[in-house]
Amino acid sequence: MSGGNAWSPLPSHGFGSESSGMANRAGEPVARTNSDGGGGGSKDSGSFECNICLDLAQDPVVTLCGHLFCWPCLYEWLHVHAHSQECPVCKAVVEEGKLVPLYGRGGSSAVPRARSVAGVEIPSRPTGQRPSTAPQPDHNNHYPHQNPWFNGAGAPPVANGRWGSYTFSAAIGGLFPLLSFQVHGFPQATAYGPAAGFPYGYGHSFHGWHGHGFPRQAPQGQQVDAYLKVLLLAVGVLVIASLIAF
Amino acid sequence: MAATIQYNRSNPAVKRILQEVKEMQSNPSPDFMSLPLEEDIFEWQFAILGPRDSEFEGGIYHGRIQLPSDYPFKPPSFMLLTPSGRFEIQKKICLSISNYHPEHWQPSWSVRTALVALIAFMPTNPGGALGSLDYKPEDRRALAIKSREVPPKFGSPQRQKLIDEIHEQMLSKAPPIPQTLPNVPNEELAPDSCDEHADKVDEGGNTSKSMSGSSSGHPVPEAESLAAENTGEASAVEVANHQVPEASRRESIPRVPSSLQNAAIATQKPKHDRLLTLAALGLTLAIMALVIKKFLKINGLGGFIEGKF
Repeated sequence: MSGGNAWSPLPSHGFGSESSGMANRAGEPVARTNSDGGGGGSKDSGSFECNICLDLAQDPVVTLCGHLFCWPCLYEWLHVHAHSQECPVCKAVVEEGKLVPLYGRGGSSAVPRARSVAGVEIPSRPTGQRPSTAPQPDHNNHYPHQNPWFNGAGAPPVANGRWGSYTFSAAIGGLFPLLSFQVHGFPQATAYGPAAGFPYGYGHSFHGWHGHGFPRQAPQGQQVDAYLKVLLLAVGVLVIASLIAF
Repeated sequence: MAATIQYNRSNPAVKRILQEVKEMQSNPSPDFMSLPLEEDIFEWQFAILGPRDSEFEGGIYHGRIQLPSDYPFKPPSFMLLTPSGRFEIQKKICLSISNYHPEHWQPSWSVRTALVALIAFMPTNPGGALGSLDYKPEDRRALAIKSREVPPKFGSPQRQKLIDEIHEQMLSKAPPIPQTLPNVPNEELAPDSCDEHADKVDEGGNTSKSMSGSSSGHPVPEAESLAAENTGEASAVEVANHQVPEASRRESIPRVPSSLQNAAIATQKPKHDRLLTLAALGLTLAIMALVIKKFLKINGLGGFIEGKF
């Protein structure tokens, strides 16, 4: 009989064009049958495909062992099918608190894949753990007078000095009523973004923040400079007043 | 002349299977060939070549794969159709990659990795596993020669047509049969022990699920090393090396509850606050030292102090 079905003519599908494969992955597949899709693109874009569904990862997460998955696929494996909390690729232990999400340029608010087939309600993927902002390289040059004062007061390490000074000001304000104006000055620091001085917490406003880190740090540096000057002046005045009183 | 079939692409299992079909067609392997049926994408036909340097070399062995509806979260089942002397025909075989051991299955494995593992399992000692046979090497050799002549007869005419096409493709890729029998010491390799599953196997429908047994099966090596190997010889050596050491699964550590994770994050702030408290305490001590110093200076003036009191 003449004519072959869609699967049998293997030589004609030996190596498909890569552009066709990429086009199918980028958007909604135009070709409905499998014979039109070229699989040559898998060699180029395989690095960002989920290890479970073999498709471009949706809501990608990376385990500590370095394997990439869609968050819905990994959640379904860990909570529905797996006998233990292990990586689907290398059987390493997977802790949900240590999963690292990957944020690309596209918005992840849309949910293109509804998990109604498995009947499992999939929560949002774990948030990234943002480390503290890198210390400024010229931190010591701007405040040469700060070193003896900080060392005498038993200050925390210099790496934590930038964000620690805010809480330090608040603590001083609580101890000495004369320094209460420092506490009022603290909310001004948050004008540069939510939780600017705190080491934990993720804010979407800081997406691509490191690219513009230097220009934005300059105003904060001046603010810290003003704080430190006022604080030093207040302490000096207090010490002089103590000397005069006795 | 065949009509284009519209698959339910919203099903994640169908999407995964279509990706595998596309990948297999773009990167064909010289050691096996596998295609799904046109009317049911969860039913596959495959053919593997016998591994090199074994009594199965040159043989073409056909089989059938049934993928579950939960694929790739559940393992498939495998059934050999060509007599080989190693696996029974038309009976589901018991391996660590089949549905007899869903606890050993990894969702990152695929049909390709399963076929590579199946080729590597052929020279191993069956050890009485369910669905396995232990023929003599001479008989296996005769069956390997016989397997090239005609493909097996199985299933519907459309499935038989697919089997015939796969057989022609494999014949063009198969090397000639070697004349002498190789000396392969396969007694040291032990596959899964699946005797206790004899009474629990469900031979029924497409999505048959076996009981999760407590027997310690032999785990298949990592899928990445399997998927990377396209040649049967390297894959067989790779898999055989993985089988020699006794790989035991590590114990499952319970997942840390979210309250403990929040507590772990919260402990960071008191740590820094403690440092700042120490700094403030140091400043207070400095001021008190100044005050005491001043007090001692006043104490030097005895008359002033006595007059004050």
